Amino acid sequence: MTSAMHRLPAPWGRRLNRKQPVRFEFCGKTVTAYDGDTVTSAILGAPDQPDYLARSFKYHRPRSVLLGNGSDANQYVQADGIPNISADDLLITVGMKVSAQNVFGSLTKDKGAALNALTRFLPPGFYYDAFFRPKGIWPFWEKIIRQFAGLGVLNPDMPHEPSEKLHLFCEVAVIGGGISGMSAALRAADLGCDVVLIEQDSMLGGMSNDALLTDEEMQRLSEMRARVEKHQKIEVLLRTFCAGWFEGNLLTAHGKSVYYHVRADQVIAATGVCEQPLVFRNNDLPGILLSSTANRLLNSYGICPGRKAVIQTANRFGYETALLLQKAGCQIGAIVDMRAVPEDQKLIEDCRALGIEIIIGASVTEAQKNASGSVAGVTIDRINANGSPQNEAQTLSCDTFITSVGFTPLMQLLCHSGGEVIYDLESGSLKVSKTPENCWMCGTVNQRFSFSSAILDGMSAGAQAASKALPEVANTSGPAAISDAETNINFPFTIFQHAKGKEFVDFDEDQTVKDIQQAVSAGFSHMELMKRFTTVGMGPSQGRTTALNALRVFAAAANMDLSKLRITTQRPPFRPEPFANIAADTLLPQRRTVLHDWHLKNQAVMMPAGNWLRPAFYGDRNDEAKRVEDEVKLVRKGVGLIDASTHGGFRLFGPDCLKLLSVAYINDFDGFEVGQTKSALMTDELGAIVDDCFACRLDEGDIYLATSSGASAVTNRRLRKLIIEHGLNVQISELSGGYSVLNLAGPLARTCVADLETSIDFTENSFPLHAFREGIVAGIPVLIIRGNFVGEVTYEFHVETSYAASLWNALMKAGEPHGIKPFGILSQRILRLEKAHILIGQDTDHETPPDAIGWADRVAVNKPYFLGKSAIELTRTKPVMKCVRPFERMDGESRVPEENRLLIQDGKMIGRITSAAFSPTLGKVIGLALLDDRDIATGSNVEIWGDEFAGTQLRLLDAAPYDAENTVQLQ
Amino acid sequence: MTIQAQTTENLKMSPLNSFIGDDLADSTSIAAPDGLNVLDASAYPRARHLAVSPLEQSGTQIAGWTCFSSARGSKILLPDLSANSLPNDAPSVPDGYVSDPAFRNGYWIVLFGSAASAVFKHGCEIDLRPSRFTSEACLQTVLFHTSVTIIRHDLQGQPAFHLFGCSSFAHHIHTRLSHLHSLYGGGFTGLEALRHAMKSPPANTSVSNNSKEV
Repeated sequence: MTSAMHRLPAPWGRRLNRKQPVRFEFCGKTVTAYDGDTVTSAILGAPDQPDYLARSFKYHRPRSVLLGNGSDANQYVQADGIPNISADDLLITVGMKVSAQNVFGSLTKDKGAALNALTRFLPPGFYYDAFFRPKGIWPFWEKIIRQFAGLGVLNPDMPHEPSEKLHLFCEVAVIGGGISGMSAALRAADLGCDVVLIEQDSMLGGMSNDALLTDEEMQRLSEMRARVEKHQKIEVLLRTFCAGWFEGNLLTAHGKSVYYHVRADQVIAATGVCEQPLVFRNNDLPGILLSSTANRLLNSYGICPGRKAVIQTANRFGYETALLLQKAGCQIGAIVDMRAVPEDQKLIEDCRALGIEIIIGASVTEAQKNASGSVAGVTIDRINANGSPQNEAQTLSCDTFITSVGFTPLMQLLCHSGGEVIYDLESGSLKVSKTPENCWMCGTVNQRFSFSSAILDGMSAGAQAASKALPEVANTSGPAAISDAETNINFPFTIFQHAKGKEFVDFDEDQTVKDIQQAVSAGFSHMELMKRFTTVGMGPSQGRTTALNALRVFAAAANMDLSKLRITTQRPPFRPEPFANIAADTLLPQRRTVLHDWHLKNQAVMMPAGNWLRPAFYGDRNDEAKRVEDEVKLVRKGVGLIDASTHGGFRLFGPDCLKLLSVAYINDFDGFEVGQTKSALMTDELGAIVDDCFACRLDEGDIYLATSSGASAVTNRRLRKLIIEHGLNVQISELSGGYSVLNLAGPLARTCVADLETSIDFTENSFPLHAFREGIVAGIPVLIIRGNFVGEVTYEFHVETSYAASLWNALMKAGEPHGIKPFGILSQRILRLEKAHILIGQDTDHETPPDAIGWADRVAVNKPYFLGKSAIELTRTKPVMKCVRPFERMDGESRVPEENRLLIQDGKMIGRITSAAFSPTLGKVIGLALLDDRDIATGSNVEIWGDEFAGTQLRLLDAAPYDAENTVQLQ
Repeated sequence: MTIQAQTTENLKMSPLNSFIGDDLADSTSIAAPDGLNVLDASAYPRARHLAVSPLEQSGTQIAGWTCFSSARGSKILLPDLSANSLPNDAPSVPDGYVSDPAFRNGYWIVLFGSAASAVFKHGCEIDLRPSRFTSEACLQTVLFHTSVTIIRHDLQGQPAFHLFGCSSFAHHIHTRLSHLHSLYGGGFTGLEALRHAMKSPPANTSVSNNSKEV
């Protein structure tokens, strides 16, 4: 294999540690490079590796490095099992395994390259036209096309390092750590601002790191870098790219396993520029490079792109690269300057003094390739004032061809937040015409290309941003430094179409001049439409290397005025984002009761219930049905204890407590005296039930409110909203988590508590159903409610959470002689179903009114207002009303139909099952159903609809399946 | 109608008790003075008084307790943790106020050490830079996806923070802080260690806005 690119000795390659060789694997072969090498530089510098590491997306053409900074698609690799890693950014490590993507066979012998010969059959959008006939053929083609599409192989089993998410705040954020960004950051920080500086490279300096600088400029760059790194007010994020710029100056940025949200008062865009390719036949051959890329390879990684170079330029940068290459020992065949009258006389003289031939007013129009597919020479031609070739072609041999014909500002991030870009005819370049609010820009993105003007521009932006961020700075920062823009960087004519095609405009998506012209011919006569049809600008580069040339080709094809055209919409992300970073810190925490460890020690099988973790049941997890059945029987025949600390609860304080209850709940609270309790329902604005509560009036202005677990947050918000809306003097203390609830239930519950040291009289007469008592139990202050959720004698112990473990232990100890055991929520759900107690949200839906669950007589319609009142009144005027009914399965089968099974009667759909379970107490399947019409007769039979349970008969009941007379809970 | 326990102190348990344990209580050692140090103060008395009709604003000091103002006129009272003995109960509730029962039952964590303020950039989406969230300030916000009340109360001129939250999130907070210990150093400490830090000169290293690594 012949490789034009070769490694240079030190001092070339300032990022390399040549004392530390590193071996890694690329496409199955061992490669030896240096510590500090990226995968790209390591492959390009290896003598036995090709001068490229990727194939193009559509035609599988060998593609060498384009920008060399991770900003284009022609350098993505699969590294250690992770696809689509930027080889330009990935530092090599010992033993790393890297492979090429998008190849069929090997990188150098890719069978997919056969598509090159089929180019004329693969125009833009060919798949829209080709694969839909005959009818039904698409699935066949889809498999083939999907095999070609997509890059890399995802390994779902691969462990990944969790990413960190950080929230940073600052007065000034600077995007880009080049010389203008650094000077802006320093100025703003010196004026007192906290500054966050985001730089995607591993070192500060930007393009200046690899440019041809004077000794004085080098010294200044080095000093600035040191000052920024040491400045206490500047936080530098290296190897971090900014992906999006959102409203309110929220910047999203990605580092290695770190995802940043940066919120800044002011943002300075020092994003720099992107060099633009020249468009001519075979402009994508390996060996053809942009001058900024060549500079980077030379200076940072010590890689010389070839042994004989031809350089195409239209500005000073081409000459500077020529001088660097000459210094590196590369023969310069010629410098071809497109300009009729070049301005860079000093550079021209320097080059001529070195014997370099300079050809003025000409351009390369075609490249030739050698046997291995790399560039072997270029054809040049004279061009006139309009950039048209004059048919005076000659050929120059070379093994590398370098171009510098213009730049495009990296304006994508500015556009995310409202910036606008126009084509400036005078300079032949894209120009930011409008910046977002509280934004400044400086440096090359602001057309300041010289070292000194970029620094001045940065200082000016830093001072302006600081004076706006910190009012006290406004009068002390002095006048902003002014520097003039440079406009002679871009050559306006960069498209040289060849009769045989293959002039690439988009190197990500393999789109050529002809593709754009065909799109225009097909009627896609708007840039946005052309983009969608051809996919130009839609690859990872996001138009960085495409926008300018695509605009020029489109304008010519559509015969439109360039100055009136706009680039297509720029959207986040600016660069591909790692999914692992986006997923960082997105899992919501699960709540645990203070008895969590006790449950685990006692073999609880935990399950999520809302955002809580609760014991499902206790015992062998493989014996769930038996364990749950035992727990149900325990509560029905003995005594059990359940940790119900997930409940919602509030303490209402203040003189307007009753008024709050009155507007929040449907019930009448007149006559609700101290020491009494009341069950109540809360509805929403549509009159649908959203929560229930059990209120205990502890004092005149003190109410304890026990609510459901699931709706706790919603109830909290509603209560607080009503306080504000009605101007009530009420303070709310949310008790969820602050108070624990331990429910002692079963026929032996009263016997258990009799053994406790307590100040409370638990006898039936003294402590009846639905009463509450406050007192001391086992030395602990408690509030106890006599409940009936499971249909047995039940004492709900409400206790401050810090005492919960002690009280739980005391209750377990007291119940020990009576066979007490803990029970979980699976058995609790069966117990409540046996008593036909509904769960709001499960057995009701978004339009179930109180009337549907038998609460019609408790709706206090005489109150002037409560939330949902008018909706309930309206509901009552309708002829049909929903209702919730208990049911039992008639055939004696124990298989339980799932929730949401539809129910039919006489062939009509009449509702659905909301809860169902097999009752160990009753020996049959029972449940609750939400019916569309409450007039459906109780005692009538209904059928389950659907395949599995088709025809299964259920009987609708008018009372709970267990203890319909409600006598058990009173015993 | 408030019923007080008779002999309840030994029946109380911190929600962090099962993760941290009691063995730190008397230790004066701090894993890393310049790291992130965490004291579980959940077992110590504190109070939040909610204003129902405040007759007058209470002062900032109430007989050995420090008073911090929070939203809607409510007050948070914390004991002086440097005192040789801590009170058993919070001071009586003044007229016009009621005591918030939930507040005294959650977790109470004290963050100190020079990395204390770094916690917020990991889990809080509001600007709590030391320059913006000054000493003695109090606010309620979201930290690590959970509701939390934060008071900044500096120790020896170095930022220190009191965090109060629901006991049901104690395990979650403990997990997140343990992770931060692996990044910044430090660890869980006892009350004596905090007292030691309150008497010692601040560590040389300072947490600035300039930390380069997480």
